This record gives sequence, structure tokens and C-alpha cells, in this order.
Amino acid sequence: MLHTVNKSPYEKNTLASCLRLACEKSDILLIEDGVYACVFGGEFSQIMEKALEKHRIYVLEPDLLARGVSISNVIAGIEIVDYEGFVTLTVENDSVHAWL
Amino acid sequence: MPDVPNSQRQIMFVSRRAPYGTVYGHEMLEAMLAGSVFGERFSAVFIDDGVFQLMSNQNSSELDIKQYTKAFQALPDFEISTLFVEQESLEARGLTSADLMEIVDDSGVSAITLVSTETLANLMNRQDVIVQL
Repeated sequence: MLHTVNKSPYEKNTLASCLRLACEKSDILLIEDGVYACVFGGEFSQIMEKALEKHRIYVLEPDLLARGVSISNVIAGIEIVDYEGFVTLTVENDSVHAWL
Repeated sequence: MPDVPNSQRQIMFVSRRAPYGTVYGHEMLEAMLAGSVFGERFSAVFIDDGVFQLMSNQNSSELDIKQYTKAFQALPDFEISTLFVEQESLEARGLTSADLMEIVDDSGVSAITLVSTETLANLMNRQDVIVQL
């Protein structure tokens, strides 16, 4: 299963709920304001690093760039994908749970 | 998307928002009722602020907003008798099952099941389709 998260973790508990209920080994893709969770040194750095032990975590590059978050600032281990990569993830997974 | 006939797909609705402040909860109810007409098999899950939708003793009359949550009690009549509530979300909000409205099927069995985070995670993982509203 692929989980997508599109809200900033600084504003909403969407990411926290996703991490609480996502089964081990399921994929997580951060999109839209969800990308703020992947900034190294932010309050969610440790939470994301811990989550990386259970999940592959991806972030959508166009949403990072649009918000001025540089790729060099993304927490190590989080994989950067473009729209094509997003499509591949949705096809490779049986289903998608869009956390809003 | 798994290759199974529509009638056998497992579809789960996930509600994470309180009633009245936004239209999400009401929309989810409408979607479930509409979907039941097509013979889809649904379950509904209430987590985070979604558990507030099931509070008993709601009365929105002075807000001039329709108390749509009453219709949850009719869900079993639409063959939707599987409502899960995450125990941890209830407890985090100082609530117990005693604070929730009664929803019973024809045989008087409660449609609401309290589940742990772990149980719910596994249930979610088995769904063909998840719709969060």
C-alpha cells in the first residue's frame, strides 16, 4: 500500500496519524505541503528518521522546488521522485491511501 | 488496483474530522449511502477527531445545521454494519465507548467495534480501496 500525505506536519496531525497506522514496509509519499516534513533539522527530522526504519519514504520533487526547499536539505534516506516516479509508485502498489 | 469484481472489493471509508466545522464528515456519510445502492461493501473507520462524529447527545438545532450524524444510526439499514473506532483516538480525547451513540443492526448487535491501532493498521492494509474524508 502507498500512503500519500499532503499536509504540513507543523499544521496538521495528518503525518502523525499516517505513521501511526501505516503497516511496516508500506510506502509513504510526501506531496504538496507534506514535503515540509522532510526538511533536515526540522522538528520532524527524528520522527522521519525513525519512520525510515519501517518504510521507504518518497518526496515529490516539483512540490519541494515550488516551496524553495532545496534537495540538499532533504533528510538522508528519503527518496526524491518526479511525477513519473509518483505514477510508478501508484502502479506498483496494490492500493493508495491518501491522507488528507 | 487489484483485479477483483466491484461487488467483492473491500472499501473502507476513513473519517478524521469533527462534525459541523467542515463538510468532510457529512460528505463521507453521503458517499457511503450512495455507494451502498450499488452493492459495494463498505466499512467505516473513525480515528482522530473523526470519533467526535459519533458522540451521543449531539444537538445542532441552534446552529441551524442539519444534524446529519443521526443518519449514522441508519447505516445498518443500508447493509453497512461495520464501523470501527480507534480506541487510542477515543482515549486521547478523554472519551469512552459510553460517550458514543448506539448503532445497532436488525438483530440488535452493535455495529461499532473498538479496535487498537495495531488491529486497525492491519485492517487498513487489507483494503482494496480506502477513501479518507
